[in-house]
Amino acid sequence: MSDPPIDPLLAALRELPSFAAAGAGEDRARRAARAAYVRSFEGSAWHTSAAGFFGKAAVPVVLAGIVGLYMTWAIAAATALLH
Amino acid sequence: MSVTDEAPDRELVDRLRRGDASAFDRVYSTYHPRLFSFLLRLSGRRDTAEDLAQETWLKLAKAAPGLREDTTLAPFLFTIARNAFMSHRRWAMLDLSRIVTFGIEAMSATSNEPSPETHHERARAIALLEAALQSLPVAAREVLLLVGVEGMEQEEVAKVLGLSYDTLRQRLSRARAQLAESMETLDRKQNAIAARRRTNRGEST
Repeated sequence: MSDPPIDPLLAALRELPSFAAAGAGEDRARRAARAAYVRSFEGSAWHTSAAGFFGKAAVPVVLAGIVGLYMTWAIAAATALLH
Repeated sequence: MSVTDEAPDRELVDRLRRGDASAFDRVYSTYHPRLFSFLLRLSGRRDTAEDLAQETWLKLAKAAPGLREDTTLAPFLFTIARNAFMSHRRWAMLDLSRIVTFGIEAMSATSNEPSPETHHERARAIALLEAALQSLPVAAREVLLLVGVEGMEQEEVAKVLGLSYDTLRQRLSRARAQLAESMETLDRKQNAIAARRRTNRGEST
């Protein structure tokens, strides 16, 4: 699977200049992103693994539990009404 | 030619995963101008592009500890940026003032140098291309920006846009035709305006 040769129009697009972000705002944004990066490594191991556990396993389990409880209640209520 | 280079990417990703802030700085310096330009051309607004670029970097910062070893940074970052734009676009009615704002941006980006005839022609060609790009629908524009401006491999672009390779090729071909047509139309309009001005000047003298 090989790409076709670049045509003149795509080559012209390639030559378009980059736009620079504004000075002060750009510097602030850069510092904020860097700080967020550093912070993302500051969490302790238990914190990270707990967050991972809740994100990946606990949330679906809790949701399934809530749905189960609701269905039980709904069926019980419908049965009671029928009787 | 791909602009992604796997070996340095590997090393950078490895350092990013270990919390090396200097690696983050390097990734930022390398990719920020490209991401910002991509988002500016996609959104047509400087303030939106700045916000979305910031969102992209914050997402990378959060995702860094869990990055896969084989992550290639350009597709990864452009996917985040593109998704941020799409999500923004769903909530905002961007298109109202897009063309007007971008026209000013395009001119300011090309008019930094003194303008002898050749520079003037080049500036005009760039402005025409930028205006034609802006007149395209987002789906066409994003393909041209990633393949044309960014020079990314088409397989990578297909992944960024969530398309099959064949669909990408079709979309690229259509986008290219739309761009050519739009450039022709704009060029014709500009020439007509210039001719009218010349005629007016001729009449007034």
